[in-house]
Order: sequence, then C-alpha cells, then structure tokens
Amino acid sequence: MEDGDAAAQREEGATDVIRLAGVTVRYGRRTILRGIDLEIPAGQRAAIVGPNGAGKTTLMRTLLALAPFSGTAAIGGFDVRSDGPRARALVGYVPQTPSFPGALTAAEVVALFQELRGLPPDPLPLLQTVGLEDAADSPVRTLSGGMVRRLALAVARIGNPPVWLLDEPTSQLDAAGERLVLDWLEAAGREGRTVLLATHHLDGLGAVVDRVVLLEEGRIAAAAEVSALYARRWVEVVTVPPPPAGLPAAARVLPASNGRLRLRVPDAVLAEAVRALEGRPLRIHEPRLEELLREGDT
Amino acid sequence: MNTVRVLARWDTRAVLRDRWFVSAAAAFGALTLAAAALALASPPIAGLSSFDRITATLIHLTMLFAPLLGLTAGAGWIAGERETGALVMLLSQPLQRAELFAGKYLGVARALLAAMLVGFGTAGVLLAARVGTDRLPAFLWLVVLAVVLALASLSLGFLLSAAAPNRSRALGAALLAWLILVIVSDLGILGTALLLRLPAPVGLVLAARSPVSAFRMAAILRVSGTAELLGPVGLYAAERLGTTGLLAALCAVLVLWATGAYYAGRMRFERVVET
Repeated sequence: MEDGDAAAQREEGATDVIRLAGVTVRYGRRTILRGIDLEIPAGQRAAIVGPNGAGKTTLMRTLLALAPFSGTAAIGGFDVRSDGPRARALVGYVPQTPSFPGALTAAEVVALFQELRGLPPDPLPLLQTVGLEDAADSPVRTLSGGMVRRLALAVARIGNPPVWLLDEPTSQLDAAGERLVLDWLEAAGREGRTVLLATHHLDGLGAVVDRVVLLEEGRIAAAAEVSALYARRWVEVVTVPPPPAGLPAAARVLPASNGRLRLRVPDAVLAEAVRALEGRPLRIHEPRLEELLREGDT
Repeated sequence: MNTVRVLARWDTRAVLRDRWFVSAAAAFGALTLAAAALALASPPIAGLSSFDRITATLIHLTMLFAPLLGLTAGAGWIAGERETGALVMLLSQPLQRAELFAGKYLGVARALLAAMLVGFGTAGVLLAARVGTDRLPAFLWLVVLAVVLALASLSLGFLLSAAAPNRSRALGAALLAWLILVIVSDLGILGTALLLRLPAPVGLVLAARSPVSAFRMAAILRVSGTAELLGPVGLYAAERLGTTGLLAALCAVLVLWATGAYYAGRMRFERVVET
C-alpha cells in the first residue's frame, strides 16, 4: 500500500506513533474533548480509561478523521485530515459496536476489506485466527454480537498494520474471546505494535498494557506507566479491630467501616502486615489501576 | 480507482441480495412483460399501432418505477450502513470519502441497470417477436432514456442518503421525493400553467425542471417523432429548438439531474460528521 514517498514522509516524522496536539471536539454546543495532548511512542500499548461520556470513543474517531476537531492529529507522521488514507493504512480499528454489510458473509467481509487494502482475497486463515472458520459462509446479519466482534478483530489484522485502535476490545466477548484479545495484546508487545485501546475499566487488561491514560470530561486527568503504578500499589486489608502492635510503619489505619478495621498496606510490606495480624480473619481488596492512577500522576 | 471498483463489485452483490430491491425489480419486470403482452393482445385504439401502445405503456411504467427504484435503492444504502455502523468500518480504511461514495453509487447503479435491462429486455424480445425490429432504434432510445432517468433518481437517492442519520428517515424522504416528482410535480406544473395562463417558454422551463417530466417529453418525442403529443409547450419548444434540439435539451436536463445530484450528494457526504 505504501509507496516510496510515503515511507520517506514517515521517516521525517516520528515513526509509527499516535500524536494528538491541542485536540478539541465539539458537537454543537457540547464539547466532547478539550485540548487533548497525547503521544503514544512506537511499540507502546496504551489504555484510555474513563467513565461513559468521557470522550474515549470520540478520541478514537478523531484519529480516523471521523470526528470534526481543531488541533492536530497524526498517525505515523501522517496528518489524519490531509493525509487520511496514508494514516489509516497504518491502522487496524475495532469500534465499540462493530458492524458490516449484513448481506455479505463473514468470508466476503474479510475479502472486501483485504481488497480495500490492496491485498488478494484470502479470508479463511484470518477467520481461523478468531475461531470463525465455521461461520465463513454465514451472512453477517445472522452472526451474534460476539461473533461480529471477532470478525472485526480479524478485519483489524488485515495487512498486519503497525497500529491498533481498539474501542472496548473485550466487550460482548465470551471468556475464550477475551483470552484471544489478551493473547493478541500480549503478542503486540513482543511484536512492537503500537496499541491504543479504550475501556471503561482495566480489569484483566492491566497486565497487557504499558501505560494508562485517565480521561474525564474530555480532559486527560492523569497518565502513568503501568510499571510505576504497580511499584506504588497498595491493598486494603479489612479485619477485626483493634489495630495490631507491630504494624509496619508504611501501613496506615483508615476510618473504620461497619465496625471493621481497615488498613491500607503497600504491596512491599503486605507480608509483614499479615504476620502482625497474627491469624485474624481478613479480607484483602486490591485497588484497580484506575484508582492508583487517580491518586497522583507519576 | 481500484478502490471504487472493489467497492462497486461488493456493493452490487449486496444490493442484489436486498429483498426490497429484488422484489421491486421483479415487480417492474413482471409489470413490463404483462403490460407489453396486454398491449399486444388488445385491439387497435384510435389508430395506434401495437408498438405505440407498448411504448406508451412502458413510458408510464418507467415514470412510476424508475424513480421509485432509484430513489429508494439510493436513499437506503448509505444511510442504512450509517445506522448499523458498517459505514464507520469502511471509513476507517485507507480510502477517500469521495471514493467510497463513487464505489457505492456504481455498485447500486449496476444492480439498478441490471433490473431495468431485464425488464425492458423481456418486453423488447416480445416486441421483436410480434411486431418486428423496424422500430427497434426508437425502443432502444426509450431504454436509454429510462436508464438515465433511473440514474438521475439514484443520484437523488444518494443525495438524500448522504447525510440522513438512518435508513427509515432516508426512505421517508425518498418516498416524498417520489410523490413530488411523479405526481405533484406534473399535476402542479399543468395546474399552474392552466391557472396562470403561463406563456409557453415558462411552461417549458417548469416542465424541464423535473427529471420525470423531461423523460416523458423526451420519450414521447423520440418514439412518436413529433412534438404534437406534447401539447402547446412542446410545440413551442419544437418550433424554437427544432425536434432534435428539443430532444437534445431534454436529454441534457436528464444528464444534468443525474450528475448534479450525484455531485451535490458527494459534497454533502464529504462534509457530514459521523456521530
């Protein structure tokens, strides 16, 4: 797909990165994104987390020039507006609610998207990677939501694009489908693929991303490397009062809840704290990465 | 250009699997054949030959069906994919919006032309078998004009579809446009001309504003070879432009409708925001 000029142009800019500078998106009077500055270096897997309406999907769509925006957005050094086809040639995209022409079969959909990327149609191997080989001849309109999402994952792999934009990649998927996505994301790290995924929560995905960006009300509220978040991770220990003697200094007693003693214990001294509790019944609550992120940017 | 070809090929396949389109196309084919058979079986009326009766029937059928098929097929196509989200998947690919619009138009146009040609083809075979091939050129002219009318209607359908948020709204607008083009426009022009005693030039301009009127006038002119059946407006126009000149002008109106609506739709599609 890419000619010599395109390759040279990419060399001049940062290679295979996602870059947003001062991106603001407004629909009428509603401002969805407010001056977003974000760079995802080549090979990094970043997760955008945030509540519903935070602007995650709009951010994804901005990178595909599907949303009207001010500021600049580029993929692999290509401006998504002035050089859209070249930018999108680098991207495999899975939208929040994927859909394809309902009259075509799963195999025909893959063949269509292969041809749109200048590749010869050969749908079966890709359908096998997502476990849809038995549904190859089924019209899309007869597939379940999870199967359509698997089909979208197959389409996102066409042409082995260096960048993946995945909007809620595990929603609608069964356990096997979720495992498939996690395996792909893990492999993406080894392959040096750049990934930007959007999700409500990182449950299960924390282990396969390198960086977390918290989006709230259209603004980046916090961002951190996952390794830094794990380094400062703590757990909440709920047990019976009173506070024990010999609790590590780093542990903190939190306000009691329902008569229970609540302790906040850094990961590093958890074993010491449990020993100090001398066999008391206890329950451990692990915070989500988002909670750690909200506590402070590193 | 390859992108346009790829999209057109897959869209033709998808349109030909669309139940509504296939039903409407089959109805057109069946009615065309039935009308041709009935016209041939009935006794001569007012000195009209079998060929005249068949073509008159086909002209009226085309005036109803070509805009209906073109408008509804075009209107539902982009808006339907926008509604389901399939359009976003296509727009995330390395292509320009103009290419996507062109590919989809070409894809639906090919299916539409196939439907029209099957309908006219069966009538043509019947006509050739029963009446002979002497007036085949006039019949082929009618087919060409019908195809251009269908393409003009398809362009209008795509214009309505370009920014419509969903299929039902686009189809609603298409049916309204069909009513206006086929019924209100002709009657309105006739009524206005009679009521206000409009001069012939104004009547001509008003008549040529609708692709359906332009088709009707061009088809009658070409098939009958005279402007007499077009009334005072047609006579005036033929006197000023000559029969050939009038035919050329009416063909130009049809082509302008097809291309103008297509480019207006494309411009609209390029500006629309996918929410």
